[in-house]
Amino acid sequence: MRNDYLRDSNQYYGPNVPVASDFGRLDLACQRGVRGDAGGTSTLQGPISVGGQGMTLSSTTTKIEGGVSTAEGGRLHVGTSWPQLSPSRTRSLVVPFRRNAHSVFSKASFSSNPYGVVGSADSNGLWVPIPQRLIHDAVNVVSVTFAFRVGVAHAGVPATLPGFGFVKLDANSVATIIASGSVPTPGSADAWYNHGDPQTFALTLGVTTDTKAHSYLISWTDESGSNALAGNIYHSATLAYNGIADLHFP
Amino acid sequence: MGYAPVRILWVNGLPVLASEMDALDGETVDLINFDLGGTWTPSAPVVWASASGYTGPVFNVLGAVALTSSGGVVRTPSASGKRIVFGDGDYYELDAGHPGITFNRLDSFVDGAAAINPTLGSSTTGLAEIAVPIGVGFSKVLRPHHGATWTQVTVNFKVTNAHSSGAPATLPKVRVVQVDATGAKTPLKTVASGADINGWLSVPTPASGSAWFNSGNPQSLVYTFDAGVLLDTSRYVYVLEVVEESGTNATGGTAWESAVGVMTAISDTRAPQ
Repeated sequence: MRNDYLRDSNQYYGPNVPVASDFGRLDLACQRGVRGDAGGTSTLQGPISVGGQGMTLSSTTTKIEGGVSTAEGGRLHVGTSWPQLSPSRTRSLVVPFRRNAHSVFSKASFSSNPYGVVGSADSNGLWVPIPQRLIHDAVNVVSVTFAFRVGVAHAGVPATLPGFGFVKLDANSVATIIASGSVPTPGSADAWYNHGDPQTFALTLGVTTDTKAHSYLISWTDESGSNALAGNIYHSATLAYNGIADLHFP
Repeated sequence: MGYAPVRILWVNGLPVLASEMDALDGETVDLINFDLGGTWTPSAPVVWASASGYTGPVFNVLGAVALTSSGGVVRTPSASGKRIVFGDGDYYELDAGHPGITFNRLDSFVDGAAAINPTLGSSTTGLAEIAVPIGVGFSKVLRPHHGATWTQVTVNFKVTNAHSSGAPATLPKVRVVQVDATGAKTPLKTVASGADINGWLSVPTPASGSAWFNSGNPQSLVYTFDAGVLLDTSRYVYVLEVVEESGTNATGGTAWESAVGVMTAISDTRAPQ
């Protein structure tokens, strides 16, 4: 809110010189003003509204820390950078293996049910393209964690346990394996079965995604060899991202 | 924060000292003039805080705020719950020179291809691109950037057979169509830019079967849209359609690898998917 004039226009004349109250109000106005050169903290009881030509904040250390709202038609213009996130963020995205959800293509060795893809205990494997919308571009994929369960009780630990891989593919389908590995050997057949409860296996990746140049796939093979049994259910792969430092197109 | 009082109590009859008048005059020069604007050089931050009990905004800027130095930020305190809130229809805008103005995206044809069969995750054996019989087509839903202008799609492929008898009579052709919610297709390239009346663009006729084979090395066909396509994924799905070679000397076996779309004129950060 503006200060009022001390006096109306043309009221300073002749003997009607400034009196104490004039100076008191002038002094008070200076106390309540905002010092453009010296800075300082003003404690506002209402908003300051600036229209007209707007404002330019030219300091490199300018901060607006209370949050910002745009009225409809207002814009936040980010120049040639992206809105930044500090500290950088993490996120996880689940790639479900349910056939109807994400085009899991089965070989004869695999089938699907409402809970995932089901293995048949042979040595064939499966590629699963990761839908592009689940790849966050230009950030670090820390790991991929596979969730599965062993479908039936086993007489012994399978000779070959399930293996998983994370692969990138360029525009000409040249594949590069980023990481691969097999489930560690359990202590017993019962440990492997685990009452049919969910189990996980994680691959450490540490790779920066690039959806301009690559697509990404998951590969895996079911258990096989002696003691191997059909019926393992592969549910999903969870991609863990970190280093998300800005809001560029994901 | 303003100035300390020049005088604690102003009383009529006491003369105003020159130093007091000088102080008041100097203070008015320093104070920000919001009506006329101007340039100030603060030696300490100008901080706008809220008085106790006041929860409304401390600043309403009805025009624009420009942060003109590269280090200037609009920062929400960590874990404060503060937000940057956009009014209806508002987004972050990108500068004309912003790297995000153009956007390329690779759509692999393995993503949607036929059954493929790797060995245990330490090998890429069995990885397969799309391959279709002679004269047969396939389609691939692409994922362009909503709101952008689509200028071209480059289709990558390899010819896997030698074609020693000659180039195929009919070479592969591609087109991109937009498909609305009812399934109606509209090709996005016309005769004016080199397509046929249905929007198809054929691979240019090579000089020989050997040239067509190209030793199995990667080849590409650039499908350039007429005048750029304004992408609207709220109304359309965009589909690439490909038809394999056919006719005399056709052997099939083309390995269709990927499509790389080029999108431009992205002016803001609205949801790209």
